[in-house]
Amino acid sequence: MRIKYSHIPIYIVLIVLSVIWIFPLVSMLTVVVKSPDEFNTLHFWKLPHLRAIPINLAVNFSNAWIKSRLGGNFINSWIFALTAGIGSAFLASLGGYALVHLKVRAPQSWFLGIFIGNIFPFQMFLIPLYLFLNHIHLFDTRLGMAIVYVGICIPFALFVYRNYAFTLPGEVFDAARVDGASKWGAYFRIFLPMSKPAFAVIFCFQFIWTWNDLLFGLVLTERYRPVMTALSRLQGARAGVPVPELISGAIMASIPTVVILLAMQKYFVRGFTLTTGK
Amino acid sequence: MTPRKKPENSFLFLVPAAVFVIMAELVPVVYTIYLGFMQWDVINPPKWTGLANYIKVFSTPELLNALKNSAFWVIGTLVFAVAFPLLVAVLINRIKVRSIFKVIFFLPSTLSPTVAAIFWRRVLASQQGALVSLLQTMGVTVQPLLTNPQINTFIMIGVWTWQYFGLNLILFLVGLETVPREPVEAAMIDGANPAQVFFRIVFPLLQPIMLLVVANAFINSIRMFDIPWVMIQGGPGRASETLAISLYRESFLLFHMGLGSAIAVVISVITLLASYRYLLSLGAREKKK
Repeated sequence: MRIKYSHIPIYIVLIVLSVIWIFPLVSMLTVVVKSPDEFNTLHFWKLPHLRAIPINLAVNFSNAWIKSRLGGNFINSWIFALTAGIGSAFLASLGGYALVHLKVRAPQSWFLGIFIGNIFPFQMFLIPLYLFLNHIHLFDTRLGMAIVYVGICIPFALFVYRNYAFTLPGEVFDAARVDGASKWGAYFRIFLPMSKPAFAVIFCFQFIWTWNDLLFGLVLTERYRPVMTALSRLQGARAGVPVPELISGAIMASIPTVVILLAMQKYFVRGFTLTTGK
Repeated sequence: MTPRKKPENSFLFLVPAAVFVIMAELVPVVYTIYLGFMQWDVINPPKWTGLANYIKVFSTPELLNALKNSAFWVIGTLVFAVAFPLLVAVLINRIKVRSIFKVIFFLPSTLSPTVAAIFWRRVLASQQGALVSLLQTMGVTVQPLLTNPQINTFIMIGVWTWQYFGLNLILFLVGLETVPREPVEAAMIDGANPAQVFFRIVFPLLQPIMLLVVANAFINSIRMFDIPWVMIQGGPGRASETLAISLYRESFLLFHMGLGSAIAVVISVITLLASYRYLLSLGAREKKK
């Protein structure tokens, strides 16, 4: 590939920016290959003996998992993110099906009544949710957290699902009904299989959102903290967690979202533009 | 008539979604508005105080400072995480080797804000920090960065830019791909300079994606919590608090539920005022359907 001379300044700008962008990531790698002692005594940019690196890595990551007890938080995050992703996509699929392919009175009002939840910042729900969960004894329970996450995810999920449902031909459902399929039969046998792409996009979006959530985990639970909330606690000076262990935990916590986003980069952008209706 | 035309129980499909949204969002919104007019410490019964909480939001020095910081976050995000990636997208769009840069810039967007904040706190730390250590070997001494209230908000906006930049860059690149070549080339032949081409031809064609990016940038920055909380808990003291951190501190650390609710309402009103055009554009598409 030939590069035009006139483009060289552009490449220089982009390469300088890329170095700045990669700098923090590379510096974190130099942290996790050291033992806590080596981190405190060696210069930041000096590496330990090559032979020590695999052991240091293993110790740092396993300490983050066991000693800092991030393992339990990981399980919590998996439960919350899977429930929010599957739950919101499933409930939105029911709603999207009814709004577009069934006769419902005032479908517009149903839709706007649910979608309106999406226009408020999350802070608007935080205080009452804290109070309500306390009131119904679901504060500091996995069930309470899961209900909140599903609820928060639904408006956007319904928005995407409904847009997608419009692209499916209504005749298919009419034909199925004429052949004697019930509403539920048509939903399970035709609508749900046909709308897999919408289901997948919503699942990924809401999984990522829930996985990355810090605020709800901070306010609504003590015992069942999701992983981001737990990390933010470990970060505090009082926690006294060795730096390599903390950074190892942060890297582990990033693996699911990094994998999903890099694997689905194309779909992700398409999913994002679904919201502009392009 | 097919059985499909019978409306009786089709709404049952919508009930579960509606129940969740009513419980988790609609009732809480109403309750937050109500609490905004009350004084309540959770222990004693709530007391009606009218607009006292709102007056506090706009008169207490700490909260005025949070308003100012949130304004910085919004402006900084629009400049560095929207305008700047647009410029870089135009540059990348002109060259051949694109994908490597796309991946590099997008990589931080795959991390959560919490993780970005943890990484950068180590990068910027005064002791055993990546940047400080590097500069010291070059003989440069650095003042503490994160604990200096004069500059730490701007540094954290930089961290946020690092994280948010790539997503917007990719969205702009998608938008630029939809810009047809012919009018651009015709204008170049007619002697238009690149700036004219960009502002007269390319920019208007980017309008739909621009609206999405700007609205999301505004919404995400006005409610910024994660980065300043994880990096320095809105400190030192309360110096780098955003509105969202003030809300958290007032409600859940100081138990001023009324004042916290009033701050939530203020964030919502600002968000709605700023994004009404975006919401209208979603509404306009509703009508078309």
